[in-house]
Amino acid sequence: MAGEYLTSLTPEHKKFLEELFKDGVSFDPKVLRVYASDASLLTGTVLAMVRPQNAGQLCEFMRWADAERVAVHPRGRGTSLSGGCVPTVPGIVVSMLGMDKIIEISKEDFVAVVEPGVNTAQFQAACEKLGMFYPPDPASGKATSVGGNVITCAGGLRAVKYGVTRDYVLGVEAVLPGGELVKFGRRTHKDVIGLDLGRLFVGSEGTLGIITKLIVKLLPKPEASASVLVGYPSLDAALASMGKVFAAGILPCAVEFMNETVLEILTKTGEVPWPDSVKSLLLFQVDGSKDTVPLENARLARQLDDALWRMEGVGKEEEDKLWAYRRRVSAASYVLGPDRIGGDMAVPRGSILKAVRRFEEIAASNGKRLIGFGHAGDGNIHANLHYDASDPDDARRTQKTHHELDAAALEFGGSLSGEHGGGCLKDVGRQLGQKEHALMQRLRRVFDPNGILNPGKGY
Amino acid sequence: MKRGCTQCGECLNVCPVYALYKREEYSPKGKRLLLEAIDPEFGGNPDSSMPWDDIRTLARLCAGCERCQRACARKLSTCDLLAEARSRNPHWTQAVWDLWIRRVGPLWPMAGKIAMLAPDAVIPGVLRSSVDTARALVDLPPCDPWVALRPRQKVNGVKVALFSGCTAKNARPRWIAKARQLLQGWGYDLVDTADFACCGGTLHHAGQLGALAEVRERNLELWRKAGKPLMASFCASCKHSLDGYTAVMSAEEGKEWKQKCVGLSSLLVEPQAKATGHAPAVVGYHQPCHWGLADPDLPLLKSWLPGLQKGTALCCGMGGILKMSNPDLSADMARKCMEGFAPDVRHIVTGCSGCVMQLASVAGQNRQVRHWLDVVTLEEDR
Repeated sequence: MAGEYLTSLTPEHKKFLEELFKDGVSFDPKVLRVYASDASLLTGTVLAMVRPQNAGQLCEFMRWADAERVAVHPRGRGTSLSGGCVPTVPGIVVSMLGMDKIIEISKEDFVAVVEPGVNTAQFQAACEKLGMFYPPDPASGKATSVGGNVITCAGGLRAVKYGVTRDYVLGVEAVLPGGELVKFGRRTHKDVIGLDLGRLFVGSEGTLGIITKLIVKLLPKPEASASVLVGYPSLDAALASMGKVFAAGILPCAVEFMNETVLEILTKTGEVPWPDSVKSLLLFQVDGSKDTVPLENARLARQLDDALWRMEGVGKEEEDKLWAYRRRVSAASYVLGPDRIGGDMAVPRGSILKAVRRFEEIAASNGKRLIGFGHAGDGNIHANLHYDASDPDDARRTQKTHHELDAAALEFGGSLSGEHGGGCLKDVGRQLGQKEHALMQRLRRVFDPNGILNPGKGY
Repeated sequence: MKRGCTQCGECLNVCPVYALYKREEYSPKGKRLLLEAIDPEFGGNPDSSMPWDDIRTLARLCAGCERCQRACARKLSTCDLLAEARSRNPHWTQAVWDLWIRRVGPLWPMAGKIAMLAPDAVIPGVLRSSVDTARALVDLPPCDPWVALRPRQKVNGVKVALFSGCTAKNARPRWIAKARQLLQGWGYDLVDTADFACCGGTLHHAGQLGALAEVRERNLELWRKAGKPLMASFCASCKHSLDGYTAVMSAEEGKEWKQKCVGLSSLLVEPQAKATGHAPAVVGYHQPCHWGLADPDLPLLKSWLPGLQKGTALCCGMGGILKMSNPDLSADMARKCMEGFAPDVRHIVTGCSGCVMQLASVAGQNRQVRHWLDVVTLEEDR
């Protein structure tokens, strides 16, 4: 496939790019280094980095790139764990961080209009200042861009109640290969005219076009929230308790679980408030109005009567103390090895316990420990494996485990990825049916006949 | 082999250089990727295809604020990595930095006065930020104190050494006198410590690790000779550098050092504060990056000055040696920092000597930047 694309830029190409982007282009290897990789730590070859400031520039660029058969690799903040930003063939990286404006937050229409490069956490904070709420909440929201979230359909902690990024995208403006600017959807919360091609861009992993503007749905900011961290003697007991909560008709806005290995590493790496008898944790959050949160919290507490230990927090300051234990997991995991392969499989919610236990068995059969935590409310399991890359045997066993975990997730009717996307790491053919996979590829060609956008990625 | 950057991107939002340019190459992760590739400790090769000489200009765009280290899952310090690279690749400018930091301190005020004499119209653009910084070395006229303090109960028999730092010693001796007055007013036994050398923070950033070891050893020796008293600092950057001494101390002594190195304000226990009527209705507070997560000044200042508003911006750009290696970028960061205060904020206080100088250099005619020591007094003296 690489032979189909330009593998180097001529002086004329460079002149074109310099005239179009002025100081928003670079061919300097020092600058290009950061654009050659992402959080997957894979690297590719970057011929140039361009940084459009507006859709007009991008139209002109995409017209040129399509005509010249240059591979184009769109990029937000480069945080993909699945190699979504890594050039699979030599090409030009389009950094969208120069288009990071919040154009409008409308309290009347409950929508916001943003450019794709805006940082997720900063956008959320801007909404909250106006009493509005943008619920998609990937755990890495401080690091990610909204455009990156849309292109991967990022989920997050609040997905159990509020859904994922897809549920908040009302309109998409994008530039297609060939340079055409298209606009799908609008600022209405309902719109059933025509095919919903805007939402087709959500989770498309940069294969259909480059998003230049987004209209997203907002909600009123919940007035209040409360969290409770609950300890159990085992993950079995913890998830049985979670089952009781849902059966009672309670819908928390977040439910996180942590398996026994997670508690072990948290205990090893810092102070913890729970007694030794606690081996697994659930972390719940409920939100709503000032009047309803205490009632909801009390209902929740009644269902958690089988817990060994609990710690409650009402309001941001107190809750942050509880969530700090969840946030510590990632850094603490390094005690099990300096390198990591992360999994983000999703399984039907009722299968979490069986899936985690199966994952643990697979890990143990390869001499590995499974760091199992994640969003219990929506069946999204972060199944992380730590290892020492300088030990070839450890590296091999870890890779083998990771592949076996993917297979196991599918056995449970699950997905290879609930959040991170296929990128260039996942063998999506294992999950997608042959016919369905071929249809997706045909559809991709409708938008990108010459296959210049993110070749070899997604599906 | 040390493991390097995971490229998680958590460093972007906290990096003041990224905030100015919004380009990934200027973020800590962008610089780490270049620096790790030439650092043997991270499995890099100094003779790589992009050696230090090639990456120097880009990699050193760092103010040493350490915010990225706090955000990093691996707690990697990009400014340490840069210091190591500088140390392995000496450059003639480092000797000049060393000279300015360690040898010519007493001449700083004179440099400032000379800069004041130069009319704006004749200063070339390339020297503008350096001249502004030099001018900031000249002290503002003292102001009437805003708050009078006294202890509810005196602390008796506790030995304290005051670590004043180079800026106070050379350009703001008034802060030292005020700090001594407060400590004595609280009943502490002040140990004579006029001989302390530079804390070494800037030497570290400059990659002058030999010079750093010299000053560190001298300071530690003086502390040991004085009977290991409490070490009080009113400069967040000095305190941060002193904290770093534990890297070369035994675990036991390091623990004691860490316990005894404190911010001056944390020694002013149980203060009674009386407003003098001179405090402005609105006061800005610039939080020094080098307090990290444990700023001892802010809670006290908040209780003394009800109109205190914390600035929303990041680092002022004074950290590290950016002020010397790239004065224009450093000044841009200071201006960005000033934009983080509401327009009605005319008075800004902070607890770091470097931050005072840096913000003062861009404050203009309508704003005054002072150390909080400038606005408090000991009540007994009034």
